[in-house]
Amino acid sequence: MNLDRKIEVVFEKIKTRNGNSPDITTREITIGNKKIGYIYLESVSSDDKISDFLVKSITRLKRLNFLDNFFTNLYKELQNNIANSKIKTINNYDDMFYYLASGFTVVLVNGFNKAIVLETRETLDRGVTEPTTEISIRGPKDALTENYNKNLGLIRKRIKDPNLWFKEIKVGTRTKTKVAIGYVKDIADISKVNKVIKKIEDIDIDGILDSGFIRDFLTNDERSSFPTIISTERPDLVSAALLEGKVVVMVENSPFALIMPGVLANFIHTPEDNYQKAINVSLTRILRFIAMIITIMAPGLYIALTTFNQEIIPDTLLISLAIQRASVPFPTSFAIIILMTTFEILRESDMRLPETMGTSISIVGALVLGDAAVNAGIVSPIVVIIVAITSVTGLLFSDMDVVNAFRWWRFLFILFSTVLGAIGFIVAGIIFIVKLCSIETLEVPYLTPISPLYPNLIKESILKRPRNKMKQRPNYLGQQDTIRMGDNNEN
Amino acid sequence: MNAKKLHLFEYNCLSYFLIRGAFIGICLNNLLIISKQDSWLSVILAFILGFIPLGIFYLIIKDNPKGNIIDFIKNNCGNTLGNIINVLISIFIFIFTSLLMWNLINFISSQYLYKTPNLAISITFAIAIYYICSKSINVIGRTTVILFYISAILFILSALGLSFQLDLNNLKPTLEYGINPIFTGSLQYISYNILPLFLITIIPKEQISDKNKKFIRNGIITYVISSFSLFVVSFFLVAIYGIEFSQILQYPSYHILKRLSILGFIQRVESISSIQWILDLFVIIVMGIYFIKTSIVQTFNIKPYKFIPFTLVTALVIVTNYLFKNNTIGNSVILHIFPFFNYLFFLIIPTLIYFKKKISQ
Amino acid sequence: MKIKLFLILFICFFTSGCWNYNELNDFAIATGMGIDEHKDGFKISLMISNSQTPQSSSREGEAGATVFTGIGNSITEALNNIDIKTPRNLYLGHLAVVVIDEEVAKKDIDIVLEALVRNPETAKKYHIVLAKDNKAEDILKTLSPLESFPSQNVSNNISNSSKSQSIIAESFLSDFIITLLKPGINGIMSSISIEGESNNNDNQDDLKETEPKAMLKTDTMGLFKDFKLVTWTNEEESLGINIVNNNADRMYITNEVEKDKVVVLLDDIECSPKIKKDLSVVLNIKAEGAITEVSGNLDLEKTKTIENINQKTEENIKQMVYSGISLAQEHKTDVFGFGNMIYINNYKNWYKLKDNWDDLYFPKLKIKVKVDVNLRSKGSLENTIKEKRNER
Repeated sequence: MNLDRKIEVVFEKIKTRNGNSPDITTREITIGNKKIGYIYLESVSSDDKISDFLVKSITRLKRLNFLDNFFTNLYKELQNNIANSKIKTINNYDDMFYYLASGFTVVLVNGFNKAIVLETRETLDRGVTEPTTEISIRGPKDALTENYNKNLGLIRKRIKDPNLWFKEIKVGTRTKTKVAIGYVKDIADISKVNKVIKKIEDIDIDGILDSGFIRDFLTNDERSSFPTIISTERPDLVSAALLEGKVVVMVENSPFALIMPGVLANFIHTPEDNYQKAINVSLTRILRFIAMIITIMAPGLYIALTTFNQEIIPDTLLISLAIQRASVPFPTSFAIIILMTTFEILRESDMRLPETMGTSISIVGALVLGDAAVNAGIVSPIVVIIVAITSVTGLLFSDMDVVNAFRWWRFLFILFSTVLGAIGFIVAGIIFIVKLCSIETLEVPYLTPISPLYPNLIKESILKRPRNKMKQRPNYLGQQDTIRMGDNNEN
Repeated sequence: MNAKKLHLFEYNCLSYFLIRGAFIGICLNNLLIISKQDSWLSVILAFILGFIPLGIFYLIIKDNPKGNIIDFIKNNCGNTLGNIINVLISIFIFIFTSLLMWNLINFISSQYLYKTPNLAISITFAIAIYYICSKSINVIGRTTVILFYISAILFILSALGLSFQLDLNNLKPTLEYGINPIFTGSLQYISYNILPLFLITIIPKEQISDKNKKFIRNGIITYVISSFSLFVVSFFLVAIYGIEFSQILQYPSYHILKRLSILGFIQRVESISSIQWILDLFVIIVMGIYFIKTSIVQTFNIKPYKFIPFTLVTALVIVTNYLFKNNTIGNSVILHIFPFFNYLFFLIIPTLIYFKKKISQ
Repeated sequence: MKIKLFLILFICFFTSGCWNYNELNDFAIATGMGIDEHKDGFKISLMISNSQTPQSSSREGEAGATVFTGIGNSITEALNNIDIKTPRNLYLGHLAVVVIDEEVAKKDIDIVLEALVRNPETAKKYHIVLAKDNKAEDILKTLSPLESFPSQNVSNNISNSSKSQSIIAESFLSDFIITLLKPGINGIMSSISIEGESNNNDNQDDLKETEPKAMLKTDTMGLFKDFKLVTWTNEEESLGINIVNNNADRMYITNEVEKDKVVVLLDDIECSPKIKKDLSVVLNIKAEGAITEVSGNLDLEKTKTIENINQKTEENIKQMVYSGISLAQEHKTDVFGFGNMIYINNYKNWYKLKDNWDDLYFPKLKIKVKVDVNLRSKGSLENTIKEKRNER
């Protein structure tokens, strides 16, 4: 709807439309015989910017006397004199609300149906601080914040290539959140980028508040529990992913950026790996891989071995296990499920507690579970050991989604092992492998360096090669440019 | 479906499992009965003779890169005759798969779970088979690669651990009964361990996404490696246990793993090392069901619904339950009757059709 | 569709009590089995290793062992008889030793072997021994202060002494059956007996005394012909048989050299038999060793003394081998495998001989023994202490 020519009408309309919101501030200034008015929302605009730039410039204009083409001349004058970044003209109410909420000031001239908007935004975020979820020991310690421009800036200052392109889309009919899709134009595969862009453009929802909201739109496997998108808080990880040819999605007001595609090998990596000695990192990655296998399969394997196939356990161990179990009332699988549920409850409650109460509760919890339960004869000691190993190795991974993904699979393994022992364990293992092999994100299979075999990529994703030997990018993403280093570094 | 391509490595891993599939319980027992202590010579002879069926299969595959064996038969025999032959082949493969499933269930139920009713074991495996058959061939290929890694590592560990207990005197006297048993034994071996490679002709050549030049070379390398692994198994078996004891045992290649001791203190790991045999049987059963599903979809020109694999797997479980009355009947059918049908359907019919096509060109 | 399948599995989750599912405390883990003769058939005694001693807490129990016995017409019936008396299921998967009584072995051992091998639960490579001069039940009941699980007593005893002294050879069940099935060879089994009083020693308090009342010791071997036990050996004969069969790892031999005693340790003994066309056998035995104990008046720095000792050792070895071979020939059983060697090298010849090999041809076999002993070292001393003192 177009603007009216009288300033008072415009002010009335905005106030009623907003329900007389207390943060609408209006002011009128007379220059010669023209009335100029401006509106801003006090909550998102910074008063001192307005007074510094706008009011001073307008009052300077009072000396001049423009009669015709007042609006255009005012616009030109403001453009030339105001030391400000963004300035535009708008002519309808919807745009005006959008800009008002974004922290802009709207300048109206009586008698014209257009308005000028100027940016006077107040910074309402934390500033660049240390990351809270991904701790870094050696490496940059800045994290993405809730400020959209600062996030783009943290990436821009790391990759100074003009080929780093961002495409911005506004998503959400009520929130109108800005979503930026970033990629390096001559490394990434353009078809994948276009797919992501199309998926985001197809989102028709009333509001998104965080990058987590659009995760479900970007993938098409809601029923698999393993995540296929990496979400991170660290700009150095985002830049590394961009240099490899991946696509990055950043959402306004969200400190987490999404990186696509994410394969299973990426969840074994931490950002620290890039900054430490390569050969030590290889061993650590193998350790994490073994930890992943242990945390899924340990309870199922224990049940299968002690209830069906006891011949694998050595004699003396078997006899002591049998003595330990003598007075326990529950079957093994039941005891394991109860203990695991209790551990998960402990872990969840530990995350919600404020730091002042944290340590004592977890000690009490561990003591309760471990010693007292065994002494009371509810569970046998070896079960506590198995559940403790499972939970602790599960916490080795940095992404919470991965840690929670394991729960479903542990339960499946326990179920199959209870029914048929080692054979059930094998069948559950086959189903697990099939499920992992069938996940595909952006046409990249989930188990990429192992299952479609890329020997070069194994040296980079499962083990780690020293930085001066990584000459070529492995081609599994369909990238265009695969050369990282020139031949000068041959030795 | 055409956009999902297999890699050449996945294709070769499938071939590896198809060659090794029917060894335990089916082919090995027959070999030991027929060729006695010269079983390893039978395997070598069969390896040499096996290049003939291998060549025929590769000729059929290279003939029409866009189509598979169903199209091949349809194009060269006319529509109705081709459809009848396809249906007959599918029924035979169903019976063959049922035989393999019977063998698997028998193996597990006699060595691992002897109090569990057979139906429960069948249903558990049926769940896994249905799940994997409802995916497309490239997922099956990727799964096979990982199963190949597991099977290969277990095989190498078992072979290394058992190699210290070889006693070459058990292999003598060689040629005690002449050349004839060796030749008959190698025919048995070909019929159970080389001819099932026919199942891989269901994949059209254009679904393989690597360069074409290396196709035959890699195929021959796979054939050599898998035959070598089976040769090692039969050689070790006769050398460690002697021929008489191997003939008495029902599953000698499983029992010999009971002697495996890794690093001197890890013993009784036969439950883990015998996973290699279970995986072999599993993959060849999966390929059989996939073959039948694809041939039904192509012959009757219907969409690949989800209930087709479900019906097939349920029918497989039911037929396996009622297949043989007891073990003795089953063993004698496997020894005397079945190999002829293997030769008929897997070798003679494709060869005849191929020559018919060459002549009429 | 998947939900329905999961539901089926979930139901199975709760009905799995009638299948192979067994909790560990449902088991009576049997680690030793003894088979005796009884007028109704067999009497089987099982040593169950996970019974609890009464005063232990549930966390760290000391495993006590108890022996249960059962009687039946066949082995399975006797085991079922034991099953009735125990409140738990019998678990034979960790069976470590089977002790067979002399009377059972003299009749026909194949029933026992069948019952043990056909069971898919058992491991198939465990020790199988005979019980000499005692009942198998008493042997199982004898505890030992050095082992926490009593059946380990028996099997460790056998393994260690077979490796250190070679009076007996370790016999495993699967190896015994393989030897039985080969043409032209018969089986050997080692034996165990009790030294001391043999009753009332299944009491735990006995272990608290410094010298226990009864101990298990490994005894000599028993020779089989087909499926029956035909004779026992004595110590010299069993050493000889082990040498010929290449089962001797280490051996101590006491020689008398000019009224002095010299004890020699041989640790590398190899015997390679050769059969000639006229059915005579030549055994080439090579041994290497060290001198361990010398009684005084010998001068070890002279080469003539060492050669003397070598020669005496060779004569002793020849004596042992001849006595072992003559025992086997007397009882008409070929335990050395000469028949098997004929079969391996020349099967057509074997077909003519095989029906009467044990009774006719083997006792008449001419066997010639050639021994070559080399004593490399003398331990830590170069010469004897007495000799050095006499030199002063």
